[in-house]
Amino acid sequence: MSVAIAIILVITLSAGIPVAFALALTSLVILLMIGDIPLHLIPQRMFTGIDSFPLMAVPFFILAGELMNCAGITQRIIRLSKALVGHIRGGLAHVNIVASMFFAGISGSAVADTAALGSILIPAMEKDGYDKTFSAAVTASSSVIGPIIPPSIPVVIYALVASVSIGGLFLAGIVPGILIGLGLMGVSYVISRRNNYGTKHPMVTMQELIASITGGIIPMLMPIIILGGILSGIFTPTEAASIAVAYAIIIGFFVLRTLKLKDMPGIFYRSMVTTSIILTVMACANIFSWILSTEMIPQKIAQILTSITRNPWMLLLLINILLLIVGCYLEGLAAIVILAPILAPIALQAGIDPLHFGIVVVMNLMIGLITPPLGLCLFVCCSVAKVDFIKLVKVSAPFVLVEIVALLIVTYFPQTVLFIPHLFGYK
Amino acid sequence: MKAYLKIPIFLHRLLLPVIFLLGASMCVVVLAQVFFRYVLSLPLPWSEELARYLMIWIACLAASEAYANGSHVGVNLIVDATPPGVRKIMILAIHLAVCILMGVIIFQGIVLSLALTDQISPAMGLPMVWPYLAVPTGAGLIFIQSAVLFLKLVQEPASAAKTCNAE
Repeated sequence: MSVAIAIILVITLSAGIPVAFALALTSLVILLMIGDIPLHLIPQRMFTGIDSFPLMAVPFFILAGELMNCAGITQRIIRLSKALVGHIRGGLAHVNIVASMFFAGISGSAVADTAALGSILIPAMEKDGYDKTFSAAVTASSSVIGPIIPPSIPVVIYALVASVSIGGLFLAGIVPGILIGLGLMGVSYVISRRNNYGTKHPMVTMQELIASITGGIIPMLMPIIILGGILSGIFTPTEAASIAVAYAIIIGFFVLRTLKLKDMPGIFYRSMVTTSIILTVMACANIFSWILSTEMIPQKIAQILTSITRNPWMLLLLINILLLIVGCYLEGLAAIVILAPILAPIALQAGIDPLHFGIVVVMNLMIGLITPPLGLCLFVCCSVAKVDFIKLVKVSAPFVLVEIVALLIVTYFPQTVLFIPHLFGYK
Repeated sequence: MKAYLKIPIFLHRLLLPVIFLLGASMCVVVLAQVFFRYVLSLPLPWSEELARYLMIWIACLAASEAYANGSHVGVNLIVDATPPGVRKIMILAIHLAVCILMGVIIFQGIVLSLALTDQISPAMGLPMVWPYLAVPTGAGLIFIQSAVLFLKLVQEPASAAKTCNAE
């Protein structure tokens, strides 16, 4: 039966059926093959798959990000990043990366970051003497940071399907996110220097620095409110996310005065449609996971993996390679929903810390955003910057490489991930 | 314009304000929960349950809009690589498969909802039929959208066949 499951899933997925419905169809066929199970299991598992209060953090994070975007915080973030790193060689490349790191604290979705920053920074970089493809590559590769630095939607989803603490996993993502950011800045510095990209910018004046920081405080308070609320134990992650929505609405209407009442239905509609895409996958994956567990698939895969190696380090390497391959073909969130319930117990059994493993999985699948053939952020950058896809893939290669190095560091030095969560008492 | 092509337009006009209202209510309910628990120390017993059911209805209604826009995630690699004639057939097959799946979910969803008529939700005492009906309703909307997309593509030339997923 496990072979049948794999074959049907691969056929339905590669036929181009949306991931959610491919999962449901595979489950339907398998249920018919098993025979004596009533089919109302399908709507029931779909319902229970999304009947979850913690899952509601997802629509709220999406909504808060969308509200903030529409309120026009992008310019403020770019100004703040310019004041901080604009004077280093390859200035605008660094600005791009640092702005992505700030943005990561607000939207939690890589694609939104890419589109928002790319449309402003790619033309600006081009004007400043950077190669267009290089600018697109920097934008695409830095958007990977978004889902790793908290708050992050993939992290929420992983935490839910693998039953680990959302707050703990948020904290675990901070150092790896910064690590990727620094790595990308290093690569940009070397490439910009070698190709003489960009004009030299002087360090900003003290006045501009202070002005840009005060301007940037408004968006930057958002992740602090979210993380602070969760870590102090006052709010659940969902409640913290709803506060973030309220904060974004107050800022947009009363402080920046850029949001208008007539924009609201559109903003809510777009956010909820985006939410529904994720929730459909969750709902359908819940039928699929029922089949996986009745057929004892995770145990069987665990057996195969442990017959290859019992060493946790080797196991992590195998899982990393598997995920990097999967991440090239399958959208990251869908891959998390399908694979985390199978892999997390295996990792736990091998003695790998669940928070550490969670970040490794999320980081790994997010690198898939910038690897061909299905790098979503590459596609977004291609259309924003109007550059050739193949050329973009080539120019992005050093960035992908540095991200894989960061992934290996995070994989083999668990303390990089675990030290902040341990500091806050998450074990 | 063919009459059936007006269906998605009508559904969009109908669903946009409905989704907005449900989404806004979900926010208000959770914010009220926070306010009552932490400011007034009077936790609301029903807020969490109501917000969950609102979210389920939102997801089920909005999923059909996502299907109509082709924004569900999927693997387009193979479909994109095929010549237009084959692609058209593949995409028709996708819409057909989705129609069949939705048919099963609609039927079984109604069976399930009817089986739950005497079950009530723990906090609000709401008959569980109402939240559970979201699943067959959503499936019904996706059924309509995929049937429309199917009919539309049948009448169009093969070159019009675009992949139906976001990546």
